[in-house]
Amino acid sequence: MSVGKAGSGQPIAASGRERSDRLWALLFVLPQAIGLLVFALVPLVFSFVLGFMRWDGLGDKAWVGLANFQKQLGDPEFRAALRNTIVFTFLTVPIGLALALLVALGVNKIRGRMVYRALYFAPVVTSSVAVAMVWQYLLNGRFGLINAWLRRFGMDPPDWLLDTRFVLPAIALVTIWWTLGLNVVIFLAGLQNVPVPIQEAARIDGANSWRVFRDVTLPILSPTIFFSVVIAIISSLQTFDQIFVLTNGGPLDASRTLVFHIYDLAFRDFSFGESSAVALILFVLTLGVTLVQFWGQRRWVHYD
Amino acid sequence: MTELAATRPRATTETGTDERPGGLGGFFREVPLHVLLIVGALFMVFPFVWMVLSAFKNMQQTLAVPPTFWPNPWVWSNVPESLTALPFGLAYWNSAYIVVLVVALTLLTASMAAYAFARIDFPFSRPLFLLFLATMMVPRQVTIIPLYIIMARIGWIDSHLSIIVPPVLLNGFAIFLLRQFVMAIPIDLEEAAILDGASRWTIYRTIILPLLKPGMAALAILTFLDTWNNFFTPLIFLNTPEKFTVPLLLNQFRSQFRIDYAHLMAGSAIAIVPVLLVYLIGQRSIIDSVATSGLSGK
Amino acid sequence: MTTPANSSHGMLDRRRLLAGAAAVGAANAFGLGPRRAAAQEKASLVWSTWGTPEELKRVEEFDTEFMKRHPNIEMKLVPIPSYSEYHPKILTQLGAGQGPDVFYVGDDNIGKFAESGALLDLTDLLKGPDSQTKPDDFFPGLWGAAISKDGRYFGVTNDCNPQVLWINKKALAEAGVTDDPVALRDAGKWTWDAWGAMLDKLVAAGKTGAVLENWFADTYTLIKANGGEVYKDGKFVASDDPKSVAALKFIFDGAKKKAIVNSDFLPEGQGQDALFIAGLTGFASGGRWFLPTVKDAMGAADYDIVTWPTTTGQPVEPTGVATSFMVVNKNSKHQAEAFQFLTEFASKDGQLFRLQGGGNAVPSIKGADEVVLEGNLPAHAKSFLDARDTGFVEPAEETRIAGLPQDVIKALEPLWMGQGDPDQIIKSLGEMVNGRLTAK
Repeated sequence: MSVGKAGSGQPIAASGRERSDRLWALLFVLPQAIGLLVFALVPLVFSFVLGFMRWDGLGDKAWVGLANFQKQLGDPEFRAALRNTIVFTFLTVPIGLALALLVALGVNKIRGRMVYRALYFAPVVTSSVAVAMVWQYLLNGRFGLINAWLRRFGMDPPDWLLDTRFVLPAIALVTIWWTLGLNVVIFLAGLQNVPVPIQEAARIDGANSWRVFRDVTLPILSPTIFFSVVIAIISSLQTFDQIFVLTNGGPLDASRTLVFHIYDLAFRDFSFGESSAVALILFVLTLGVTLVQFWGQRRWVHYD
Repeated sequence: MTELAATRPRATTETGTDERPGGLGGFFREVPLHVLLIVGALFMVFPFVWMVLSAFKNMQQTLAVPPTFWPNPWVWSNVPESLTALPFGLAYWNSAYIVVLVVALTLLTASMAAYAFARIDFPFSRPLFLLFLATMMVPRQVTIIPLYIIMARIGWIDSHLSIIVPPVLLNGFAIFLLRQFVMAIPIDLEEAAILDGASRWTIYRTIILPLLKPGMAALAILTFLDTWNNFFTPLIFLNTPEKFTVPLLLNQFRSQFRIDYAHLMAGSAIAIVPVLLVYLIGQRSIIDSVATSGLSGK
Repeated sequence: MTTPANSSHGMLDRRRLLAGAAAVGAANAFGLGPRRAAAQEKASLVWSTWGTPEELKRVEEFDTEFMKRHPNIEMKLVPIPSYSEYHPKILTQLGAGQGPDVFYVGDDNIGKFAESGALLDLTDLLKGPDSQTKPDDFFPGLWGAAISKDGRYFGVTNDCNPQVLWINKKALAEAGVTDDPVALRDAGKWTWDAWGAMLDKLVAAGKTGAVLENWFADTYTLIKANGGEVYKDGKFVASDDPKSVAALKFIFDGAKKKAIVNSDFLPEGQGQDALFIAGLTGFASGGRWFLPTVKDAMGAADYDIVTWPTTTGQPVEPTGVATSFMVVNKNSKHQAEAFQFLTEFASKDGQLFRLQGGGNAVPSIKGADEVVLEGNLPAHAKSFLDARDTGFVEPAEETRIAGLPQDVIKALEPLWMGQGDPDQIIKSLGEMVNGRLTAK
């Protein structure tokens, strides 16, 4: 039996049912809607309005129209941040998610899966100072382990975190490593929706692993993958912690991201108006990318 | 705006044999995979091991150049020292009860909202869902001052309510995640219940929640992790050291000019034990849920 | 109510506080006076600082003593653990109109805070009869942007940390350096030539010469040690003054041959202190905050400190000093009590109380130097005092402009890496800074 969306043209769905559905929906959504109203909408409106004002956080606010946007759009720091953020998203999201999916498939059914799952989750629970210590050491140009290995193969490797060309790829590597476990958790949960009997039936029918994956696993996993892609892009566009811990935006702004820039404008420059203006630009960018994905999902996401 | 809740006709499921890959042949097929996974795991776990080992080094060892991997000699005093240098017991209690409340209540509010968004056709459901997504698109750095004003108005500054209530009542990530999982649940069970005159609440409780277990377990792990590690809002909203959570307390080992690595690592290593436990329990329940949910047969 | 502590301490009892507060009120030109609570009520004040657990413990002890002396004042300490998160939290609170009554401000932020109108003008209070911190009691170079352009006082230094060169004697000996920098300094021969020769020997021995840091204290100290100027008549002249340019090129050349390494570029846990303790560098720049680490890891005979070498014939030229300032929130409901706390905290006795017994800073007020010399660690601890006496803090010209201190550091990054064309780096640095100074 195949049906469309709930509540759409069921013969039995009288208007009474619809009314009661609305009431239930209101009730179900109410707790989160209250939170949305109190803890998000007010601050959001406040900060968006602030984008059109000048405010040092301490003194009076003054209306400046579009001046903050004009100033930021012409600011080399902002442009570097925008470019870095986009490049970073392209570097981390596809590889990070593909790797997470592979690991999730790998540890889904295998012997010792609990051990593997714990091991692959380890970076997520490692303290950021330990992450900084280990990775800054591994990536160090003079005595780092990575370069020691590369030199053994006759290469002349760069000083990763201090080279404007290599700092973003280096941080992307750390980010993929750091967030892999989170995506694996989500994919593993999604994989539980894939009924084993179907896979087995397909296998008995003579389908190879790839075809089972493509025709059975992937479609059922697609809502989870869609979720992960949307979230990964949103959070990649908000990259801050890794930068704060590893490079502070350097060298020479080569790893400055938009949110790092937003933080800098607010808490280093005391320029809350410009900070809010950049946040608004980031918001529009993120919203646009997300809407495009929701529009495109019907081409590949299979809901049951 | 396009169809947020677009659904496609469901593929017909066939009940197959309940055979699992196994036996000697299965083992040999798995060997290359094991090799790959072990190599990757070494890479993943290295900094974690480093952190744990650093908890047993003294200051000279943590500052050794080049760094040494194994503590030599092993220093056993860091762990008890970092536990007594600061009021860790209190911070653990604070973190523990906060995280339990946040996880439990988030699972409830988010799954309710997720069910409504996935299955009930109500006015403004799509714009509202989009608004929840939009809350994730603004960095907290720009909303913290107005949020502080709101907290001050409600009187929640220096109260744990300021770090319990907002994540419970607003979590776009959780709603989106569970919505995806609800939408992957076969709808025919629900159709039948509706025909039988079951209320939405009954459907949510008796049909959706049991089938939502993998998604809920994943969300519980991620929410636990997030809340346990939360540093920013406790930093801003809490003032009294007795109310501090574990990450705030650990941060005291980092001063302006000096980081006490040995004690920081010791404290961090102890701090992650609950997270690992919850992770393992959560993973177990993801696996268990498959056996009990009926998804594999139905 | 009188407590035993009143008689034993006798610094200020309640009656004197009330009298003092009245005098301050009368002294105020507008007759409004600092706001204070009714005399009967207990004034409850919130105050914020950062610090290590040990420092905060000492601060709490001071608070307890203070409250014993002033039973009508209750001080609630809100410690904000680490420096990097301190200012964002204070700024969030102030931005929401909920700031503490008294708080620390770091030297890189004092200019913006003082200019913002959020701080109480302390000028009359500091000069008033109740003040234990008269402006003249402090070392003159340490005010920086705490004094506004029109000469008003908005904060006092609670202590300071002059930047000196730490010497690893073993590392020097291993590199075949036979001269003792301290002896050279005392003989008037502690010059850049002498230092440069040591750096070269250290490099030849496979070590780093000196681990310094790219910030105002090191960069501007080197400029002044060469007789150069940084700011003059409100203009940035370090890019034009030949002596300043020569000092900047000294950094570039040193960085290029790896004799000088910028500590910012070192990995976490392998920083300045690590290289110094391991004997992989001969020199490291730093304040007294190094002492707890170094003391635990090295024998007293293996390390020492010296003031920076000069080229001017003077034994010591003005030296960069790290500081923090204590300020009062203009919107505090208890301004008189807040000042009372501030003046006792930053006073000679207050600084002695906090810094004795293994403190990690240097008094910023006259007459408390014994805490630095106690135990003779390091052997020539007096160099801290020499450096401080003629010290300078982060220039007001820079800290008054949002983000400028950090932008200067960023512009100097290639110089500290020894990469690119030094003339071009210095030229664009000058253009950037002077552009920011004249903009607005």
